[in-house]
Amino acid sequence: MEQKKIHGSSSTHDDSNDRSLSIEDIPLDLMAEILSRLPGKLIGRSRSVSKLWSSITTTPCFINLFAARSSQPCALLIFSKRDKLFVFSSPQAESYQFTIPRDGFLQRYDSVHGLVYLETSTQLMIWNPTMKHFFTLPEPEGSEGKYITGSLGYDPIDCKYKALCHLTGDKIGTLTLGSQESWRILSQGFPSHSRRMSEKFHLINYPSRDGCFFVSYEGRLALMVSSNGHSGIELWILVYAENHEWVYKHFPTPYLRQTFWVLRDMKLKVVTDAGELQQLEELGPGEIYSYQNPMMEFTLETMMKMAIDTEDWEEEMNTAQIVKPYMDRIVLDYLVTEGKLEAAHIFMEESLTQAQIQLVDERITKRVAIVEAIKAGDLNFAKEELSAFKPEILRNFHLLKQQFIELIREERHNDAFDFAQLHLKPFHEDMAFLKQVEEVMSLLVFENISTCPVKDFLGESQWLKTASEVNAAILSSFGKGPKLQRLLKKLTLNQKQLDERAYEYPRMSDMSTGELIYPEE
Amino acid sequence: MSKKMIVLKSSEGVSFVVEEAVARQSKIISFLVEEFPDRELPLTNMTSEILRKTIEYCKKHVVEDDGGGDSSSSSSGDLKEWDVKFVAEIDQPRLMDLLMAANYLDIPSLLDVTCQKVADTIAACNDEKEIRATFNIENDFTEEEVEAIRMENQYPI
Repeated sequence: MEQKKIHGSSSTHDDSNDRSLSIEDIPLDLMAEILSRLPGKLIGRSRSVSKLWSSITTTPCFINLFAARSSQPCALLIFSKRDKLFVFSSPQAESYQFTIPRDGFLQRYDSVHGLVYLETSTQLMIWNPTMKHFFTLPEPEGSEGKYITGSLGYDPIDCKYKALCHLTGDKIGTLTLGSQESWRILSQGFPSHSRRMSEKFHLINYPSRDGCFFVSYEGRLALMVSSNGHSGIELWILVYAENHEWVYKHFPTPYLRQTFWVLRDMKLKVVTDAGELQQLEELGPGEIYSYQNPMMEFTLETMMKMAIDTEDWEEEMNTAQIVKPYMDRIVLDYLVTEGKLEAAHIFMEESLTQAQIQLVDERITKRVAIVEAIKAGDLNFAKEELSAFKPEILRNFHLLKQQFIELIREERHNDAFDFAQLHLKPFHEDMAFLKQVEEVMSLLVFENISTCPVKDFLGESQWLKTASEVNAAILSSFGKGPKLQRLLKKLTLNQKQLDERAYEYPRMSDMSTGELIYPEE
Repeated sequence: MSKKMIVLKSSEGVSFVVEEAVARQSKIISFLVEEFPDRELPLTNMTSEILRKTIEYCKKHVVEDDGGGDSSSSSSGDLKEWDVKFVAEIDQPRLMDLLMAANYLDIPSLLDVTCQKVADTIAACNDEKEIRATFNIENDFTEEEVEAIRMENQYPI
């Protein structure tokens, strides 16, 4: 036929515009070849170009051609989150999503050979994510809208999809997609699984009853146990259907549950093109990164990015209860640990807080007194107070250093030397202090210390430095600094981790205002 | 030149003299040369323009194939680049002619690049209307059918 066309066109060669062929002159097999090169998403679009294209792209021959073109093993990742179902195909990294309507909530989903099977409260549905095509299975006769459960299978021998549904009254319906208009109802008892290839049903004894579902594993039927207490995946593989022989297998997978709370309700299931189970996990999102298949890495990254949206953040933020007494406590804690007692008093009065902080606590008053004494240069008072209050702080390097400086100031060089031998030398062992010890010891060398290069040790700022070091030492001996400071550190760290993974999230850049910057849609 | 030459004749009667090795990239010519040696081969369904293009492609590829093993990886990359440029320079109606010529003469690699080019052109269109306009395809769907397709692609409520 195409030859005739070519001859036809060459016979009109005096009109040069008409001489060339149009796409409609291309023989069907070539046209199928061309269309099969389109990315999956676009095949759906090409179906609405013309009747011819629509018929080309729906033949089983074309579908096989298209499938053969993607030579790499292909996996479909599906997960649901709230009212959305996400489907990712890998390695092409195409992604699809759709919203499950509220009135027909999704009960179960499954994927077989590129199709997604959806079971809602009222309908059984097949979704072809590549074509964005939905197909609602007809209601089985006499089912009165009640399904028990259904499933979808792929028969590799005659390349057909077959659906199976369990109805009330121990009836089973089967439907071959594409060739059967209505269900074939069998009333043969309730099978635990059907071997669809032979269309024979057997009753197989389960090894386990609760919380399990069927998967295909290395060509065999397997039962997956969703284990709550165990880490990893537990599989029961059916070896011989006749004598009900099952083999148990356990796949340990690392669990890092706490890492990401946002994704806590997600389930991930990976099924290869052949319908084989590859991995199935209830995701604690840390597992995404420990996920062993490098082919998936990119997809999982995109998936994560899609999975956490602004809505999630807002929901989480709204559920996070920050009550006023808690806030008051943090502010008060800050004022008190920083030694701003007067401000703390005023704050307590003004905020009418119920916060239980004892301002007259000895720990605070003593500390403030000691620090103030050091600032004022009264080392003896500070030492006396410390020996009763926190004797271990007497061995604080900065305090000892200040004492040494005082001996130099009083020109008691021999005492200073002995003091250094006794108290500063032990710090010489510690690399962290080595430089400081050497610096301050150099005071001994100079004749005129008021003009020496290390004269700063004698200045007022050195008192303040020592005071702040001692303050910190006392605080850390109680085991904590201001709570607010620790919270901000934690926030910064968490945001840094998110930035490293290039996620978009409402970011708090200016800590002083606490304003959130939302990522652009 | 010691190389054996053969003569190809276009639909306009223009003769092209090409090296046998070049022409043999077409499986059909390969077969014809063996059946009818020392004869002019008339290609009555190919215009001179398309035949010239086809020979240009074959010449490039025969040279590269002779290039030998050691530099094959880099030259195959260059060849790919050349192919992309080659099809990019052809306008859409000529592309169809070339595709059909590749099909008729049975030159698998040329058929591959032309098919891919057509597929890329389709993929570059924003919607089915643009595809129809680009390839001059008549919309033979009725309003109802269009609506039916639209409904099919939506989630049934």
